[in-house]
Amino acid sequence: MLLRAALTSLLLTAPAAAQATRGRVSFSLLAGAGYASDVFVGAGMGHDGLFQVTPSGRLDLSLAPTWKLAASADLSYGHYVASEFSSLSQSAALEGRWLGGERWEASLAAAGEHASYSLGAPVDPTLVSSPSVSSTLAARLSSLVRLRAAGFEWRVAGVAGARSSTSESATVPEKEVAFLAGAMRPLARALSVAATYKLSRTASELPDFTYTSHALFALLSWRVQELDLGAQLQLQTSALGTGAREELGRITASAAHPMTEDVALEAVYAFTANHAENAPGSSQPPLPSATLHLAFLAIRWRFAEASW
Amino acid sequence: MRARHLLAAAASLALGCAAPITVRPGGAEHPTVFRVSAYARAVVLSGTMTGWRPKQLERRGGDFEIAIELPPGRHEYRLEILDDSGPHVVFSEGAERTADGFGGENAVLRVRNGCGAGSSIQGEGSSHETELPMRKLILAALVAAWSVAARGDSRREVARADVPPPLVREVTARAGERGVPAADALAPLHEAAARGVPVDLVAAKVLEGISKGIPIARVNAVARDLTARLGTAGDLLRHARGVGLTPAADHVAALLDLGSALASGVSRRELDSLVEAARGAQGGSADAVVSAALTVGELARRDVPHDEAMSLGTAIARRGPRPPGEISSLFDAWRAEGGKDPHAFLSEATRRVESGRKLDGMVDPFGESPDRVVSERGANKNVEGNGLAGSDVGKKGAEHGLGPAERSDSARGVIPGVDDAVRGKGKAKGPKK
Repeated sequence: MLLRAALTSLLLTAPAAAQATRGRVSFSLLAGAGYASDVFVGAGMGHDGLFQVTPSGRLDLSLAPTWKLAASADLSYGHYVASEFSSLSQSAALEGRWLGGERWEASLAAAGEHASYSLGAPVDPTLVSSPSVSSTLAARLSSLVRLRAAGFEWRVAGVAGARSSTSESATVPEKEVAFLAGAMRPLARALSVAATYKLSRTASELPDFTYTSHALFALLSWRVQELDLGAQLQLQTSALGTGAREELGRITASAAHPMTEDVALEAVYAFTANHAENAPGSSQPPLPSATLHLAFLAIRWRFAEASW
Repeated sequence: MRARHLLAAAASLALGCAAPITVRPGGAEHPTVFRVSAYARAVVLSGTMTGWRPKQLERRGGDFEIAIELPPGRHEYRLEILDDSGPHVVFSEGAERTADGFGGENAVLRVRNGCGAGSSIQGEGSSHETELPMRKLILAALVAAWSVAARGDSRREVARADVPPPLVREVTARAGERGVPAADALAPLHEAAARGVPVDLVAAKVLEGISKGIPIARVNAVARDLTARLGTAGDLLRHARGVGLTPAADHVAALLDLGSALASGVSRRELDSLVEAARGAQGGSADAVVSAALTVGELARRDVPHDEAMSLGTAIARRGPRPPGEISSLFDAWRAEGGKDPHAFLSEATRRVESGRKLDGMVDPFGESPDRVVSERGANKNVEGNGLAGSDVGKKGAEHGLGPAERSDSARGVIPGVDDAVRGKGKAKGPKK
């Protein structure tokens, strides 16, 4: 009797509390080509043309009004034509989010990735004096809290990860931690500015794989009708375990415009400037300042989507 | 046995809906089918189609089902699950609902192109279910004949102050079953007839109140309110016709819907402004006005301020009627997802209605926007910023919370520099146009 009453009560109250799980699965393909004044900052490989293809998939689940789950995976292949530099990466991530209402939300994400390069690539593409690696394998755990108050959206994130890079046939384990804090302010319905500070630390037994970076990002986002425009300024200073110091400045302008319901055109221009200094008293030859111009035009095709 | 109960409960919960209810409206060749999947002793249906007498659904396997031939039009009903813990009123997911005037709600079913074998008033007696179709048919014919004659000419409506005998007999009998003096139960019907208001609609409300065990004084008060509202609704529909709007396709349903809107607090002045909005539109119709009023009323019942809901109502009046219950159902879904600011919902709904786009998909179930609304791209936007909830920028989920270049957990650059700018863009698909 009691069981029946309890079951009935449960059944009758459940519709309000336990909505049917809603989901969406979507797939997209990014394909584009462009021009770069170098393969990466300080590579010294000269002007080159490039293309990149990135298929990706994503699953979104609404477990409850306050609980959302997303899983994503992508594969990316890029190739520089003249220098024959190519790269292949795979990544997958699982993210759970707790929506505390319109005021705040928190998320926890686990991600894994693998990337391999045909020629040596810097362990960090923003650092000219970082060592070259032929592949990396990484696992990361990150959390993000977003709080909306006083007309701003405040964001705080923490990242911890382990990475293993292959450099000159040797495997180098690394540990990464990062802390990010920022704020976004909408200036109008379709215009916003955001600023973020990022402190990251990569630790390794090898001093040239060890570095600490402080970066400041300023982002302006503007939507004009269906055109999404973005401009980002990045200022970064890094100190490597070898004693070298680097300053980097990068400005990126991007635009995206839907061409059809499923296809969008995306364009990016980025200019990067890097200034590096060896450790005081180092006998190494001085590091040259380096710049990089990069222009990229791509089509993003969302070729399949299903929701329930 | 106990395990079976648990399994049934678990299966229901796993389906995401504890007591799945399906209502398949009938048509010219098919009856309307009500089906409830629930662990229960019995499930009963009562409504205008049964004269508000409870009618038990037949058990079929683990389901309860009934098929009824219903005439085209607007029907109100309730499904009740009877179990050891008592009766529980249940509604199908997304069902259109309306306040019953007695503090509860009824579901609304709209049948189009039905076969017309049903009736809104069932005959007297409670143990004649096998006779029901014939009794209903006869009563329906009597009431319908009277109703058509009475509604054919508004001047005759006013002049006619009598109540059709079948209604008198039915209400008298039902009152007698409950020990209510017939004169008390019939009083609202006579008043409705005197005011030229369709008596069968008021009689249905009296029968509903008696069936639900409401004290007759309260039933009469509700019936008189309904009479007044139906009178106002009739005036408005005549006014709408007078200013050139296309008459309502279903006059009775329009009366009831306007009555429902008035009961929800929509004022005559607001109704007149909706008529003006429809009048200014090409092909303006009374149905658009009714749909707009019903929507404003449904939103008002959900504590949405009238002045905010009227912008959406005006858009509907101009652009044409929406499916009944569509917007209130979306609003409920939006609220369930944690939506707080009705302005965000109404602005988006208004934009979509005005641009003739689908409303389906405007509720964000994946938490990608703080206000739980999926904005239509390319729609005319109000460029005035109104805080974070009103901004289209930076609305996306956590993946967009920090730019790809800012996050340490983005994959190592495949094409250094490009990845930072491109990765993460457009992962969440925009709404379909």
